[in-house]
Amino acid sequence: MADKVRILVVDDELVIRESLHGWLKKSGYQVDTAEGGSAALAMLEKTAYDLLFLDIMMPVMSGIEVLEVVKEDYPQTLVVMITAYGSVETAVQAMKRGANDYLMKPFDPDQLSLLTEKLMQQKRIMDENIFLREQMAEAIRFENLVGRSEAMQELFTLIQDVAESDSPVLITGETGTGKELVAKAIHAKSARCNGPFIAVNCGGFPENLLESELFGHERGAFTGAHRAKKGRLDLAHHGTLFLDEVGTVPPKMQVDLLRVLETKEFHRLGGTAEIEVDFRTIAATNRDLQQAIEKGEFRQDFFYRLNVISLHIPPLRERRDDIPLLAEHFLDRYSRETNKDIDTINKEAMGLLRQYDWPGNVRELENAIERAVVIGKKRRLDPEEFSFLAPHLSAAAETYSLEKTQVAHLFKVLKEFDWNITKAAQALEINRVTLHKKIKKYDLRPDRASS
Amino acid sequence: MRLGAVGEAVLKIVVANLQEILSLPVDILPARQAPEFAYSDNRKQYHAALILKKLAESRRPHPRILALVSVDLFIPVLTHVFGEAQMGGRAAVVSLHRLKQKEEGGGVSLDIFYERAAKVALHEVAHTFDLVHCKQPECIMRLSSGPNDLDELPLFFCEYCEAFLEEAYRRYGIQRLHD
Repeated sequence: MADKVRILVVDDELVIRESLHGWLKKSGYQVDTAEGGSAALAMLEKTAYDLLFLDIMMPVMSGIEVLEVVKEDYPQTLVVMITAYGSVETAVQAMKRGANDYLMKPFDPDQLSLLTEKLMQQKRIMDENIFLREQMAEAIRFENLVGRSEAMQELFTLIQDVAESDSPVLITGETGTGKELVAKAIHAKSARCNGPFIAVNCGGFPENLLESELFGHERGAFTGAHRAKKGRLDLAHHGTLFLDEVGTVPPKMQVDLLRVLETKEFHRLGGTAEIEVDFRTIAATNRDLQQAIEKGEFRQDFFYRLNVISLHIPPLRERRDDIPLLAEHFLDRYSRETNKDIDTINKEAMGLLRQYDWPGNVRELENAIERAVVIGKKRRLDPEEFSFLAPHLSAAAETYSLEKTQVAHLFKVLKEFDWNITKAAQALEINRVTLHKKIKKYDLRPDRASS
Repeated sequence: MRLGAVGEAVLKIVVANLQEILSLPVDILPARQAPEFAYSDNRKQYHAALILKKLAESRRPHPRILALVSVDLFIPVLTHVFGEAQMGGRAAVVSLHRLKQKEEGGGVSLDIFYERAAKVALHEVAHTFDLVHCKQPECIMRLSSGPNDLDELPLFFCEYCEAFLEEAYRRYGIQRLHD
């Protein structure tokens, strides 16, 4: 039984559609038909077909035109061109453009069944390859960190090496690069992996609360301390203490923490008993701590204590090669979470993602993909799903299309003049009516991006 | 039902096999003329789908109607077919035209011809009960494109197809002969 194989027959002749549909159905395939190129492309947007029987000679949109879109947007779909007697040359052309095979009408039943069988076998191998590639991608993913760029490969090696020691680690990198993920990966690979991983966002608390959060307090240590509370230092015993945004720790607390890191002893607020702890410290910051030291905002001795081993995570714009892998990783996650059948990001959209600078790094990319998946209505994400990024992209980058360039330019100028039509029209050296027409034509709005 | 010049013997053998292997009661309907309405000038063959359409319109009370024809059949995408059936429908047709010949040329013995006819008939009728082509080598529902392929097929259904058939009989409310 071949009940999972989906085939689309595209032919403008009803009799061909019907008879091929009937024949394929008898072999247990799931078969749909389309009478033209546009209908076929609309169906492909919604359904993942394994095989397409595509007539070369069709009115409006030729089979070759459809083939080109299919090969670009749905490379996993195999295509057999259907040709009439005497148009073998066109079929050969189609093969050169990526068709997997061709059949001349009427087909010999033997030829048709052998070809279908052969292509299904090819498809199975392709699917297996995709599966293996996904497994490989899984392998290069390091504890949820994704990347195959040289920089990330070096980082993975470093994580492995660092995990084996027990020395403090300082992780630097811009916001959203995944510093906590790196810290967790080090913890997971270390001998302390069975102990707790306790994270403290040092920038998330006012000074006195941070102190109580880290050191804990005894009952009555301050107003509102109705009961004793263990601090994070306590909780990290036998595990790893992750001090995020360590650059924001106030100078006084830097002294207290330095002492704890050196002696591995502390006492709770309002308490006198020394508590012994055993943990590994990993700190992270997006600040330039050297500069903070020069400004007197960060203690040098505390810095040296934290920075025994340093790891730097490059920003996403410095490892653009990782963007497709990350984007697909998040697409996979969010399409599963939202139960949506979206499985690809189109080439142009991926181009946009690669081009964007991602000031918020991986976190921003993740949010962008999640947003695109939520608003996406087709099986693939197109540039329009990422239109919210476009205002930040250079207007006509990576496009030679006159129309796109024009739209981008109009958008840029309108934005520059705060959507004042008179001023924008003057700057564009066109009259207001023309500008209004263009705004209407391209549906330009302040809340929309130029693409 | 015979359409055109179809011998009595082959008809009786097909009927016997349908009764025995499919366990279905079979009536032989009066013979009719060859299906000229389905003839295609372009192809010089008979359009199988048009014959099926006509058969399906029959006012007879029978839930399934099979026609045997001696003419060569085609469907628009294929050069020829040995038989054709409406998937899950009422009508099926078998062409005896190519069953008398060897692929490499020359004729076959009557025994082989009768066996081929019975196999195609069983295969096509099973399609009307929603059975699709089977990958099992030992099954009559395996797809065969040439007459020699037909000779390789057994005259029975594999256990999976047998089970699908039973299920289909229940679904369509068909009473088996031996029930």
